[in-house]
Amino acid sequence: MWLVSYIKHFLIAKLKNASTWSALLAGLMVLLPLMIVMLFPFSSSLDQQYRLAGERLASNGSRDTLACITCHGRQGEGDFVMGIPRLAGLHPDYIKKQLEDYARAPLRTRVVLDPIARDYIKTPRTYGDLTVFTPGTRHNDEMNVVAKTLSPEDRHNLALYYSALPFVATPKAYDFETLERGEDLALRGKPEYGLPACVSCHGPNGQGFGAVFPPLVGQPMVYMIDQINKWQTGRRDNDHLSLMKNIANQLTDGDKINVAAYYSNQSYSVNVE
Amino acid sequence: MVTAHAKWLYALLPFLLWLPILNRDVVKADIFAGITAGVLVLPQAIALASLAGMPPEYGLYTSIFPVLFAALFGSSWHAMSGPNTALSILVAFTIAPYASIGSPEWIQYAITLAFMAGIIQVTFGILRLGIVFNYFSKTVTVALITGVGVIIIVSQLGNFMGVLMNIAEPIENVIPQIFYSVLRANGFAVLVGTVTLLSGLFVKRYYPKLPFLIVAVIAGMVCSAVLELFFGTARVGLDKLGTMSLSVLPLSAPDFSPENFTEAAQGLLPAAFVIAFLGLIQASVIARAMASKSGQYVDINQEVLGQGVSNLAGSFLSCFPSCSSFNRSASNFESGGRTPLSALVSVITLAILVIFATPLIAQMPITVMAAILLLVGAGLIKKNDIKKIFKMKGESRIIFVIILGTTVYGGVDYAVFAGIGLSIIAYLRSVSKPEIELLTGKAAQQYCRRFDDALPLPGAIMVATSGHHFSSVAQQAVDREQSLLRGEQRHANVSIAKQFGHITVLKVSGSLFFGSVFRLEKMLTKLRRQDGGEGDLIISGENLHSADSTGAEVLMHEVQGRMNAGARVQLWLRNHDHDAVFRASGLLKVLGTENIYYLDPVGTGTDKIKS
Amino acid sequence: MMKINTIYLKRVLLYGGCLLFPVFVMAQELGQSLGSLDVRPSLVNPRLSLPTQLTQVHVVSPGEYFSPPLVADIPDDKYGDMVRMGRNIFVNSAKYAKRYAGNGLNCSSCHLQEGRKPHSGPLWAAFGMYPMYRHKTRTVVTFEERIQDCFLYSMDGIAPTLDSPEMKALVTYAQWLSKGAPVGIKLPGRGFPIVNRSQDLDSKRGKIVYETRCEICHGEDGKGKKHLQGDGYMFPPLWGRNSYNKGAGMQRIKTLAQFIKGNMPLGASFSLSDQESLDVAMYIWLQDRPKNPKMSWVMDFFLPNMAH
Repeated sequence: MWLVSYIKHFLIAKLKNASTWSALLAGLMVLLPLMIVMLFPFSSSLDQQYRLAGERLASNGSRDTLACITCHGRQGEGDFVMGIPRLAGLHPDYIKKQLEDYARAPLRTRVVLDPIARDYIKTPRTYGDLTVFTPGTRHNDEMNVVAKTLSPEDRHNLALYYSALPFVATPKAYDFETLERGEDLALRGKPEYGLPACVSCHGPNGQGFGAVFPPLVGQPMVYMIDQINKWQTGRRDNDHLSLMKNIANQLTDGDKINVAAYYSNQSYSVNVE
Repeated sequence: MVTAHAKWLYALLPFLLWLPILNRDVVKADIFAGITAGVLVLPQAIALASLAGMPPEYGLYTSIFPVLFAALFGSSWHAMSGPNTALSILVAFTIAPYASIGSPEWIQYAITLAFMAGIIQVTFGILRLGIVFNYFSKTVTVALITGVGVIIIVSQLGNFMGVLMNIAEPIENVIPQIFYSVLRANGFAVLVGTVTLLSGLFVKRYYPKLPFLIVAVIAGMVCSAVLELFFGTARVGLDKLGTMSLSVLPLSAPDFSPENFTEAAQGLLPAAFVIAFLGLIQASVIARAMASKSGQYVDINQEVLGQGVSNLAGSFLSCFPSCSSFNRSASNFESGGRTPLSALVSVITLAILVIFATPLIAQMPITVMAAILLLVGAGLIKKNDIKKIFKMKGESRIIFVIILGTTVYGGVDYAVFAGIGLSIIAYLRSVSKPEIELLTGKAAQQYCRRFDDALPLPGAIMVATSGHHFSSVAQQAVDREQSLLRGEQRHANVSIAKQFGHITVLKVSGSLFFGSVFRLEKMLTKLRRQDGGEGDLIISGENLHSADSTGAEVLMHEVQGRMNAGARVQLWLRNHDHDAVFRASGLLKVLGTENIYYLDPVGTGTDKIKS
Repeated sequence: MMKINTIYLKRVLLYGGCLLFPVFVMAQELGQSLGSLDVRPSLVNPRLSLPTQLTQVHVVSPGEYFSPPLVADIPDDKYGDMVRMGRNIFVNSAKYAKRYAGNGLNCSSCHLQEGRKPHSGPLWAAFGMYPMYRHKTRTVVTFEERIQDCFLYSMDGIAPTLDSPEMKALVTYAQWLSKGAPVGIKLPGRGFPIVNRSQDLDSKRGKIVYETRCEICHGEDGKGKKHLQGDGYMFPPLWGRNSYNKGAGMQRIKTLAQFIKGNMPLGASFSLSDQESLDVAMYIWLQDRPKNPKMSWVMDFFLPNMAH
């Protein structure tokens, strides 16, 4: 009983004070939109906001950086001649990780011996009997600069924005032999070299699988070949379990062309009703 | 009441006939009967599919879609369509040389067969040849079905013992295989199979109201499950049916493309005819049996059409050839089905049942299915029918043995052809016994006296009618009047019997044709031996049903011989029906118009003469 | 009085604990969540940082292995149709051999790259070796019987009958794949590579290996990962209802370790050491999976992890 009467008296005393009223009002004004945001389809409307923020950033850029659309296209469709990758419809976590890896200072040496093994669990490097755990890095003159200016929130917003954009691939024509060889490599790999098939990780049609395995179909051929080259030279070093590095090391120049041609020959669409 | 337009409508959509009679009671009865039938068909559908070498799901399709179409477009309200033992065996033995069992080509061939059989059946229905199937002798049907039962039992013994055998071989190679297989038999499989078999027999014997096949399946599966629980699946080692990949609308199409069809065409084409015939024979038998029980009028042609449509539609819905099934029709009738609505309900029941039973069916051991087929096969060998046939005198025993032998050794298709042949031969044998009687002395006199009143004078009639066989009614009346007048004159004059001193009458009844001529010749030889071929003769064709040139020629030679010898010969015919044949053979010319008498020239006086 | 108090205390602790536990966990999570570019100390022991011992590094010399014919060279006739059907069954058993397949695995889940990859039980090396004596069954088994065993154990399904079209297609595919391979000779790359055991196995180490090397594809709890569209698994489950049963060859620790060493992680074959392979195999072996069809349920109940 005493508790109730105490609260009553306390409230009466407080409500007589005007400053309390104004504080309450201010509090409500802050809380109400928040509550609306939280009560209504909670994540989706939040995501929507992030996406809008991402769109703003992508189309306008910020003080320090260029807009994404200057290179990656208005709808994130990339540039098939210049070999600039499409971003539309990629997995958001994949985009985020790549931006993080671009932002990370590139290592100056090939092999870094960390005093403590790091649990960037995805990237243990095995050199003979020597295993080195490194965070991933990815070289690209433009993107390294751009990514460094992005805050974690920016990365998140951009990832959400681009992952929701629609994209329709236009299949490119190549000669039959190239496509046939590319298909054989894509579906069966090179077993005698221990090289697995592309489809076994990148999905049955190369449409990507989850955050770890990006799509191959719908990416510019130039870009794909360029990335494999970068893996071979170590300029891209951010794959999980060094899987792609091992694979890239087995690919000949012909293989790269064949398989890239095969995947840019496929038709594909994402986020399209 | 039924206008021409409506008739067409009813022929196209025969279900309009029974839709109006649906009321609460009928619908209730039909739903009950339909659910019963839907449950009953499940084990049969699977077993018959495996008999036809098809994956089990095709058996289910076949007991869903053709049932639907046959119910909608058939005439009988009680006949239930679906997979059939004889047809399944036939399908399996037809396709076996061209594809490996259960493979996609096998399935394709079976679907193509269903299409071809459907086309043939629809043609029969449109041409209104349904009546043909009433003349397939019952003996042949019983022998065929018995043979199918024997084939099923022999072919399933291997599966029963859990041993793989080559069953698409002649039976004399399969039977030794059975004995060799006994040594390799899987004891667990035999145990499970025996449990299935015995429980089925037990229920059939002591609880005839229960569906014995279903009880047997359940018993077998429970037995196998218990064995597997205690000994492990791998050790028990039963072959299982496996998960079915069902689809709601299993579209398919017959394939006549040369690369697939040509190599098998030689076997498939005759088989399609046999399947069509066999299906229709069974369908018409069932329809008639059901009609005699229910009192419904069954249009056999419509029923044939319904069967054709069901096979045709089935071939586009992954079904192998099907026809009406006797057990299921009978059980449908007994459980109270009154309209084809029960068939529709059974289809729906089966479809629902299949969805829920698929995981269970996957675990059904092949042995259990073999035991079920053994029960079915044993059920096909109907002892009573066979006993009846053996009690009957005459050729039916021989026919039975021949057809049974052909079925078991040569296959069902040969047996059907042999059955058609033997049916025709039996018919010919029965008609090729024209009653040829030789009447002499008193009997002949008596015979002739019967016609004294009616017999007109020869010659005049011939003049009157020989020119035109199809004289007008008025003309016929005139003729008749004249003939009666002359008859009176004649009667006043002298009777026929008295014209001849020693009279011999050769009475030829029935059909006188190449098949029966030898009897006539036999009789004439006998007569010639008696009178040296010189005596007077009256050939009476009073009851002559038909005659062909061979028969006429034999008569002509006889007549010529006797007339050359100076004997008097007369030919009595009932009317002018056979004039053309006899004239063509020259008999009329040899005989001369004055020796030919027409007992009833206009075809109306039969009764008058007889009385 | 004291008694009541202790019970009361216990209850308070219990309910309070229940209420507080999620908060506690969340607090832990919050405390551990690091910035995206930060790196936290590993669960793994720091690996050897200097190359002090000689290790056997697997060298791939492509000429060493038999190379099977190309899929594009399958003939366009009935034989070719059968080969194609066999290949379909091989890479998508759950769809094309639905009748007999029992779980989420395909033939190509173990026989990688459509049965072509050396060191993962390639068909071209196996076909010419059958019929052979097997210790598992203590009889001479034919190739067909071996396939039946695959369906019964590894695919936890129903053994296809010897006359079934599925069986025919698989044998045809294997025969086509080993076109040109010698018969009765142990070809290099046959079966799985050799794994030597030097220490006792430790499932704790195995768990760490699983979490660092395997989980990325095979998912947490070995559930595998399903295709985004359609049925079937992109990455096969390693244990649980949809994986191989306790009678399978992979349920032998040594066999599984051999397979892992020779093939896993996919694309980085021979990157795990023998010990790591054995540890993770032990860890996987301990998990729950469908019962051995060779044993009765009594045995399965009391001796759940008895292999063969």
